[in-house]
Amino acid sequence: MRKLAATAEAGVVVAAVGQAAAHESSEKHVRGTAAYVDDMPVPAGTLFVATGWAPVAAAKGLRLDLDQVRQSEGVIDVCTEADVPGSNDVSPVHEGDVLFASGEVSFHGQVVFAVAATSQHLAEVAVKKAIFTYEAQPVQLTAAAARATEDFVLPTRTFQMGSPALAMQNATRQVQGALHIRGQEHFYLEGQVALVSPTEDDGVAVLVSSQHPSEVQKLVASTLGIALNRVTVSVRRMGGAFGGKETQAAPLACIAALFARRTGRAIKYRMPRQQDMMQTGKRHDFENEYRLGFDDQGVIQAAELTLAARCGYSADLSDSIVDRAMFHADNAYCLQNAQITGYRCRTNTVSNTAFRGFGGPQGMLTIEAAMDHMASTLDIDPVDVRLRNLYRLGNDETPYGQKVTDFRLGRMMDQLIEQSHYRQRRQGIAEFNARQSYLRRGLALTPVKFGISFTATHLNQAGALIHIYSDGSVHLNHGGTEMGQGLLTKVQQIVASAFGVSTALVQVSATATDKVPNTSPTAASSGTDLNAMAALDAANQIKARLIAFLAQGDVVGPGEFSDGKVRHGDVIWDWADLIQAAYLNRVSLSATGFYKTPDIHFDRATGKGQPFYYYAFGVACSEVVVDTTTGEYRLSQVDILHDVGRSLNPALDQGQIEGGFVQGLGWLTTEELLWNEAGHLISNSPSNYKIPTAFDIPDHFKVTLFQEDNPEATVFHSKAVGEPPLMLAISVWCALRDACRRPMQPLPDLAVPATPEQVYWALSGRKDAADLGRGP
Amino acid sequence: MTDISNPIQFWLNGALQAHSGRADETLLGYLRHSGRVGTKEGCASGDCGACTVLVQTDDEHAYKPMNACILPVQQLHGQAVITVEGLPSNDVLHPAQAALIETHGAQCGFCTPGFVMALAGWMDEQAFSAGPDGGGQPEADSPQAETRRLKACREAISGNLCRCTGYRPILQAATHLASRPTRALFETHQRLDKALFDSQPDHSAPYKTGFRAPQTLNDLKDLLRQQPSANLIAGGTDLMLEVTQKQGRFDQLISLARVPALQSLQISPDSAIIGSAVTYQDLQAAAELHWPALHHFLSRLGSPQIRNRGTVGGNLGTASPIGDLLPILLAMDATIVMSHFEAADQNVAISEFLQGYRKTQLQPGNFIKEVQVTGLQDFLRYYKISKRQEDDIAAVSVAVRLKLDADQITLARIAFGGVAEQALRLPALEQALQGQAITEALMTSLHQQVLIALNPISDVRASRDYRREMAANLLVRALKEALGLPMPQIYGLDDA
Repeated sequence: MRKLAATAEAGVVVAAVGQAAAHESSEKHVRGTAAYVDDMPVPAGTLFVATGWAPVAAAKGLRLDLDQVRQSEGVIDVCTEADVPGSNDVSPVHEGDVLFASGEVSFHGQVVFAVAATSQHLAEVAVKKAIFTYEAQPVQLTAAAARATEDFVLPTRTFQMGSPALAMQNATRQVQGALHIRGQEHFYLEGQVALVSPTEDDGVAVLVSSQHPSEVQKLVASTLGIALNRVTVSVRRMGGAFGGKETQAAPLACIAALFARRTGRAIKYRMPRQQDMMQTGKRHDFENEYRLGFDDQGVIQAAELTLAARCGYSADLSDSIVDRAMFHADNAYCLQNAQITGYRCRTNTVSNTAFRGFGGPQGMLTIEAAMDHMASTLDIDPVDVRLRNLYRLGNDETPYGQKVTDFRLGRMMDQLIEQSHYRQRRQGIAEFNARQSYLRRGLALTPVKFGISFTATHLNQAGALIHIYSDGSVHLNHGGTEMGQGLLTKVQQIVASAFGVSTALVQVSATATDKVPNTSPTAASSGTDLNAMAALDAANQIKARLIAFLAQGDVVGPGEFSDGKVRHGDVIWDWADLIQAAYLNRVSLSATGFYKTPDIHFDRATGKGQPFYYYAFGVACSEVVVDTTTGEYRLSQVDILHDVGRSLNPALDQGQIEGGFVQGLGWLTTEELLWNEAGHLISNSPSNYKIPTAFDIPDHFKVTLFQEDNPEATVFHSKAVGEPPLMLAISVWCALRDACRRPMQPLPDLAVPATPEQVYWALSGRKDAADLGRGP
Repeated sequence: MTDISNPIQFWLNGALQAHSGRADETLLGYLRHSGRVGTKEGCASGDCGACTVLVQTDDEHAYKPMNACILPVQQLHGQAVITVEGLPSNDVLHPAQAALIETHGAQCGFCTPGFVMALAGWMDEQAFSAGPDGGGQPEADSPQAETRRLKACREAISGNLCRCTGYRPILQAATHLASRPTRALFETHQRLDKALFDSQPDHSAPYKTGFRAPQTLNDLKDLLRQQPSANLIAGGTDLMLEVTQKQGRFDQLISLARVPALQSLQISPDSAIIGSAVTYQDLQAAAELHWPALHHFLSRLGSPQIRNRGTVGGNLGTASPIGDLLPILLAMDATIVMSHFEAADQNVAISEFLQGYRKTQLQPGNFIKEVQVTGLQDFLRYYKISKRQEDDIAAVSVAVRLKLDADQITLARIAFGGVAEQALRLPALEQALQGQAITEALMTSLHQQVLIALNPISDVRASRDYRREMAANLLVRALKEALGLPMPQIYGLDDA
């Protein structure tokens, strides 16, 4: 008999699921030993990539003189569109996202050629030596301009419910307004990076910081014109992604793969921060309009909402992003009669892309701005107007036909109103504002309802792979990627629980296209919902085999897997002993798992269906203090109640809620994305694009988990938590606007983001000044 | 070998390193190319803190956090560096590392080594100043003390960006650490090597060019005579951006950081002498007693990592229109002492010294020796407006100095940053204030005059109109404060 490996320690563990376990890499994080792509040792002879990019935002007849680039020190190879053996198109869904621009230029910074050189420095020096000739074209930079010329990257869509025109006409009161919502730079701390090595089969092995390894695989293969089975892509972890590495990582891998094939050498392409900010897509800017018809109590009768997204030069994921903006333009409110229109506007700017919330935030902010507007005309506390319009039994139909069935949000709002002492503080603030000469406080309590599932139904599937080795140790793999959210930790906890062993026995591993194929991006907050279920499926298959082995042909009773033991009938096995016995008895100890979300469908032609498996909810109450002489402000208190269903890991869930909130805070306050009239991004570095620091969060920043089982059959009845909390920050923007309102005056418009300057203009009633010099 | 600098030696995580490389090679590049990849590159511009390391720059200070991405490795001769790999002692995690695990303070983990080092440096500074006995009694618990503690925790990590956590757990870790006394790092890690520090690296052939760090004024002048076109470097927080952001190269750098004559720092009740190589951090500490307006302001300049590197001379020499020290030095009528390798020292009024957009009176061969300031007892206010409170560049800054005799203004200085090509004063307004009492009418009139006098540009930081209005409003605020009117601030409002 062959010698068996030493028995692994199963350990004693009680119900790993639901524990506030530390992130699986936490010790490596603090030691600096967690490896990111740029930390991987590079093979000898590795070359480094820099790209040459369009010096103008729109041009035709582009010609390149690259002689001096080729002759530059250290340059080994130079590529343009003409050098792509396969397809130059790197679109995720629709066509039009190109690897290299050729002939014409669609945005400032667009990649037109690339260089591989012996060092990063030499590559960057070389690309500056290109000579461009072109005919500059007029630039189209705003959604409004694109709407005027009807220049859209994809067709306009509308959701309609009831008879909005008639109901609007019959409504006793109306408000209307417009909101220009600026975009957001992801500012993941780890910039985009790929390291590609050629393989002996004329393929490539790709290490990349990507949320979507399968798509990187597909696009690398199509760029090179080879089959998918010659490309392997793996992702151990990302240093932050937030949607910015869903589609935007692939071009780096494609360019690096192109050079790897041409030179036979390993290629690293790491974008310097400034180019990352200029060349990769961001959250969409929107120019939105609203019109609400309502009664004297502030109950909405009709809504007309127009959402116009600045998509940039191509489609990328804009179709689904604008859809999601439309899906969230109702937020938590029953609109009764509604028309929601979404435009996908083409502009000469970088193609905007996924960013945590995926259009949802821009739709939701619009209706929340409208709710405050409506409340201000009625002189009713905005929180009461919000409560009166919440979805409830009988008022449960969304404009896209899905019925809301989970009504916990009303209870959550009541609970947070109580917990945060909202009513008393509202009174205190009124007194403070009456007393103070130039400081003003503002307060807002806003809800979030966020639909969970990819709205492209086919993406709602996942695979997993589990091996149990003969010593009892478990190898876990699935299609989800780790970007800091703790996905690998949660799935590890679930698999450990399923086998009744310690998480220490379950080794997580890099997401890899040669382990689990055809995966969906880790996006839409769905990472755990999908991958944990697939992993559970794999675990259950192995468990069934183990039980069948124990039953030895008798009736298969249920087994119990806990505390490192397996109980079946009267027999109790130590985990490791059972695994060894199963191995010796030729039981397969490896399984693939699969999952697809049930019961979802959506018909885009009619704009009706059930696109979401369920909704996740949240409520936030924020208070601010504003200096009216400068517009400077401070967020002084935040209370959050957020719905996580039954939490799989309260610590990780809290981290997602806090982090999402602060990211939303940045979007709505200090992060101002600006272009000049020529279409050049001018907020192009961390010195002029300011994400929040530790100073921007209040001393009182209290997050409470609302733990009540998800009524749907999700993994342990948990709820997704990645994206929804970002929109809790809408409460901060509403509080700032509340602080800007002068007694007896209408509620002023407030720009997004509400920088100190914009708060100052809102306070001064200087609507004219708000857009001065701020560019397109 | 023209691009190879003289070999230096420094301590890295307890091991002596000998290194020769380019004069402008960064510590981050050195670390990562030598396989020490725990220190991350987030921005390569000193803005994100992911590359934070600890450096003991002299034996009178604790280890200090600095940005490795813009720190020339050649400047480390004789100094001691600790990176995240070297922080654990006998493989036991440093308390800052343990605390971040406990509080779930890392999500993606990329910024984490930087936070670990910033927190460890912060603790080291407390341990160092407390001394071996652990210092005095801890502050009694009270809401105010709690607010102050949290503020100190925030400051400790204000030069580090995290995009995942929202900072709450990291602040929680900092709060734990604040109540956990620790031993100074040099007791468990490498201490700065004084003999090595005082030694000169080998400057013999073939290492003729490259990085030079003279240790006396005469040596500095000799070097300038030999290499009048060499770039001067002190903290390098601006200069090194040429290398990391624009692929620039510096083959010859002369460091001002080791010349004692440039390190004077005397702040008396009414006057100050500040050597050009004094860091913002040291200036901030020294200004606390007699120059509180500057002391408070300096916490808004850069980040702890930047303040540990950047110098007064660098801010003056760069002469950016948004240089944070320029308006306040203009308002103080500061005198700049310029030295030259062959001419006598020259005293120049700062208003003459600044010549335009990033232009000064400095010529090749010149360097700034020190800055002299009087009038510290005058009424002085300095305000800065930026999109973000911490570690942001001013959209507008306003410095106001007044001498008051009873209620009459006998001298007024009003200086602005961010409103023109250079920091400037408005002498006409100063004249208008002369001999006046501060009244509502005067303030209204001055407000109008500022709006008329200034014509700033609109750019990524602010619009023209906002800049003008802020300049005017903040001048009025200063006058109100001079009148003794209560002017509560958004920060500190809840502390009282």
